[in-house]
Amino acid sequence: MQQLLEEVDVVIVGSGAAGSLMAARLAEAGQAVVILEAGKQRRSSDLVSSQIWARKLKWDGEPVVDEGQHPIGYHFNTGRGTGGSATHHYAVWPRMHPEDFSVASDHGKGLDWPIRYRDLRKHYDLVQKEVGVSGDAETEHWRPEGAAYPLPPVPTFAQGRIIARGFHKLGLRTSPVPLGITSQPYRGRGGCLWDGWCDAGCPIGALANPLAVYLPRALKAGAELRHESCVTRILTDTSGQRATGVDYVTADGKTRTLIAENVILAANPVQNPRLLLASATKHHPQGLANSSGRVGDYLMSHPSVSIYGLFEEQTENFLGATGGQLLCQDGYEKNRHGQQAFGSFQWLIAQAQKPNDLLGYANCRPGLFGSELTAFMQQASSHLATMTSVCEGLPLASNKVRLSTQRFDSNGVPLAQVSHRFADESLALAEKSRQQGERIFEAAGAQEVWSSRVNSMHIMGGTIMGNDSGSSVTNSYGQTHDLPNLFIAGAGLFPTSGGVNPTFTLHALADRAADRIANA
Amino acid sequence: MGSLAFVVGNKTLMLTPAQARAQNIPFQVLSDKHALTLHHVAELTLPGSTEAGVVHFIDQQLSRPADECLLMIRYLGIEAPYREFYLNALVGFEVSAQQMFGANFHALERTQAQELFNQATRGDPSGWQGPPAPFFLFVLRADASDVLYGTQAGSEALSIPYMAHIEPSTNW
Ligand SMILES: Cc1cc2nc3c(=O)[nH]c(=O)nc-3n(C[C@H](O)[C@H](O)[C@H](O)COP(=O)(O)OP(=O)(O)OC[C@H]3O[C@@H](n4cnc5c(N)ncnc54)[C@H](O)[C@@H]3O)c2cc1C
Ligand code: SF4
Repeated sequence: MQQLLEEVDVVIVGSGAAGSLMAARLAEAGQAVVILEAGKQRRSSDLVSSQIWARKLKWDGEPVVDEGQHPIGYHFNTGRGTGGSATHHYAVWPRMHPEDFSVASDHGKGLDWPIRYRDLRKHYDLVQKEVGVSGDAETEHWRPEGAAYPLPPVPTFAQGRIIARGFHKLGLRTSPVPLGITSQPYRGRGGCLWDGWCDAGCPIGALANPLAVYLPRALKAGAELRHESCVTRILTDTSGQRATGVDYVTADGKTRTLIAENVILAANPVQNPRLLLASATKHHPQGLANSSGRVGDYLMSHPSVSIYGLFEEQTENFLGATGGQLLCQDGYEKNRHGQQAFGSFQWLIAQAQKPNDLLGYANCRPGLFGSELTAFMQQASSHLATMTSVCEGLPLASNKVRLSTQRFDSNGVPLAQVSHRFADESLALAEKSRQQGERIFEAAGAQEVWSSRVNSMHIMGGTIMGNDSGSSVTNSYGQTHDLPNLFIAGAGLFPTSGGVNPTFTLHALADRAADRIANA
Repeated sequence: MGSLAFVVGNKTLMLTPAQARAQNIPFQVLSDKHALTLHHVAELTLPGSTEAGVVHFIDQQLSRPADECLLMIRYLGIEAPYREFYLNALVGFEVSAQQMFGANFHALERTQAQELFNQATRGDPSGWQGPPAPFFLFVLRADASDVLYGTQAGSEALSIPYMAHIEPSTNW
């Protein structure tokens, strides 16, 4: 007997930041939406306060071959299961700046976006009201135009005050960092307790992860979320002109098919291109939506340096949110950093600290062992302060996601093979930030100052948007140039990275795209 | 010190690491020799981490399916299964101990063990086999920090409040 195929209006691949917003919008617009999530179900009650348990939220799917001179740190920088990486993200939510959208036109570097800040502004405003962003628009001197924050800013604790001293001595400005965290109760969600457990996931719903805001809305409006449903292939019709749905594999190992009017890929900037490339057909021999040959190209990350200092005073570094207390974007002007460096950078200042894990303070001094390590831990728990630069990583066509020719997952899909290096100008920018950061800590009175190597923070690009179908994968709505009912959502669309964290912007983009799909 | 869950046969016992040692609770992945070497290397890495249970922690985590393993190595770009990584490094310490001092690592004089260990923090000691020794120690140092500082007891030892939203039912 022939199996009846299930049909919906929209299938969304991935329940993370982009997928859950899309699902909420489209379900609320009356569409039949199914979200397919590869990972396991996570409820708020699973978000146990432990940096060891927190690792359950990290990527636990098929490995990614993470190569190149500066690997993107895929297995740290992603998550899997309900809410994706966003379930344990730190909710630092600054807006991109108008100049981020036109770097190629203005400076001959990187790529222009097909839209400008003014196209996103109302979407930033709407999203910030829905999720409850906390901040202080007045002291955030660099902030692009937009509605004032709906919630008052994060408080500044001792660590923030101590570091701010150094900024102010050098004539640099600070403001409260904008956070997608409720500084007081908001729309039925509790206010933040400033206990620094964001990396383990915020079980009280203060942090705007998908579990707290958009997934409940999506489910209430009738969307269905299926866990342990790993999409393995995007299907197309016989003419190769339209996507018809997806194949996905469930926990019992069975392959199922879901037919949909619209297919939205919101997996992540590595898994989206992997799926497109792995769905090649005779009409699309290079992979779906890849007539430009650009699927997988321009993968980006933010080069980032952490500054550490030991102070005489008690820094109370256990207080606050993991994302930090203060912000400085005085380094945002792109061509102010000398001949070698290019781009914008910002400081995220005074992150709440935990002793263990990759970002814990045990790891900030990797050369100490034995009794020296023990002594350092005692000192650091009371006297350590830290801040982190987020620097623009210019897009390079040579930074790619490709399919491995040698290795396959248990469903027979080739593994993603990623190659990434930072552009020389981006690395030079990170070094500039290091020099400035160390000077700031010295000016703040640190007894000892040191810094990390350059790390990769956030993953962007890989399915970039653009006006030209010959050099980009989608238009400004994430609609693929080749298949009009196949959309991509998430930071994979960014043609350049700017010097700010990406998640607020990818929400704004998804909101804009959802409007378009709902009203088509 | 918090209790840990040990699976013996079809029973789960809640024991402290010290009780587990006293009761000779068998390791699931490590041989007794590997466990002894790991014990000595971990104690040089972070004193107190063996009493806090780092050897059993690693053994337990390595015995789980890779997607349930909570060791930090899972996001350091090393592919599962991780047991080879640990076992090969422990063999490395054994081979280097034999080559440098003609004895098993656990039987070395304290100064000898420290000398080999110090070399391993900087590069591969002579005769070393296995993953790069400094990288192994970076990983082991993270595991040792997990068990010593990443728990409620660890917070108390550092005089910082733990402030759990949801307390972990076991340390790991
Ligand atoms: C530790 C950490 C801290 C961060 N802090 C910040 C911050 O402070 N500010 C900020 O702006 N950003 C931050 N980020 C980045 C932020 O998490 C991401 O930008 C955001 O989550 C990306 O959203 P997304 O929807 O594109 O992907 P995700 O949120 O990762 O969701 C993608 C989902 O797709 C699923 N999926 C993948 N493949 C398939 C498949 N084949 N079939 C079905 N489902 C699939 C995944 O399991 C996952 O659930 C942080 C990230 C991490 C890891
Ligand atoms: S610091 Fe605030 S947002 Fe972070 S986990 Fe605690 S309550 Fe949640």
